Amino acid sequence: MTKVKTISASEKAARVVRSKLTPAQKRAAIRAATKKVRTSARIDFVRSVRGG
Amino acid sequence: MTGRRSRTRAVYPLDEPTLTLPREVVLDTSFVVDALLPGQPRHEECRDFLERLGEHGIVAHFNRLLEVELLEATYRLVLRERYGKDQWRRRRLDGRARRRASRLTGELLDAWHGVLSALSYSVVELQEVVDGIPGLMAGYGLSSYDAVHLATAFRVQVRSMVTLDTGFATVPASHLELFVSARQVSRCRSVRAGVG
Repeated sequence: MTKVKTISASEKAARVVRSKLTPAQKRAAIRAATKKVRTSARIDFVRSVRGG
Repeated sequence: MTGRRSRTRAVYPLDEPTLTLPREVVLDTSFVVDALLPGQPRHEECRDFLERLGEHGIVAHFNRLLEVELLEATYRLVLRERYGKDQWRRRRLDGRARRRASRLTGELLDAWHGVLSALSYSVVELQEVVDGIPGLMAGYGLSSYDAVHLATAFRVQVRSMVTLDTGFATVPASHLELFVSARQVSRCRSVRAGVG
């Protein structure tokens, strides 16, 4: 099987964007963000987009 | 395979409150779609898990493909909204859905960026993993899209995937642990019982 080339631990750490919010603020931010999009339809992502 | 992993097949439910979270995970688009859209059947389960990731400072890795798949999911959602489940596939080129699709994709990306502001995360670009896709497709019978997300996990050496796509269960437990909807646990474990 073809191997995927890995990145080093230091490169991985350098890439991470860290949130500056407190845990409570993080929860509130996620709760607020996930209320924003309103639709009247539902989608089965795996079946509809990936064709699974 | 260790005792616990043997019993669970390294498949864990998102809604298990006593679950020990890994320090890093890879996010699959199927999970993010349900987390972002309040009307989705598994929204609360996915949103709550996302909140746990944020609160505990778990690093979430994802492939750039995730954002492209979010756009496609939104466009299809708008078509379904306007034309219903029987007609939408034939209406792809109907321009009347485009304005709504444009607005909704903007809203979804805003929501995604709002979520990212609360996460520690890293993005893996598609070109970083594309060479490994054929081997993963052939090795595990994955779709090309699933193979991108699995390759992303291998790229950053993270063996925990958060997903609602049971197709990942074909990857052996020794390579990938799955965090899935509670209702998908049994199916994933059954698949893994056959592939070990």
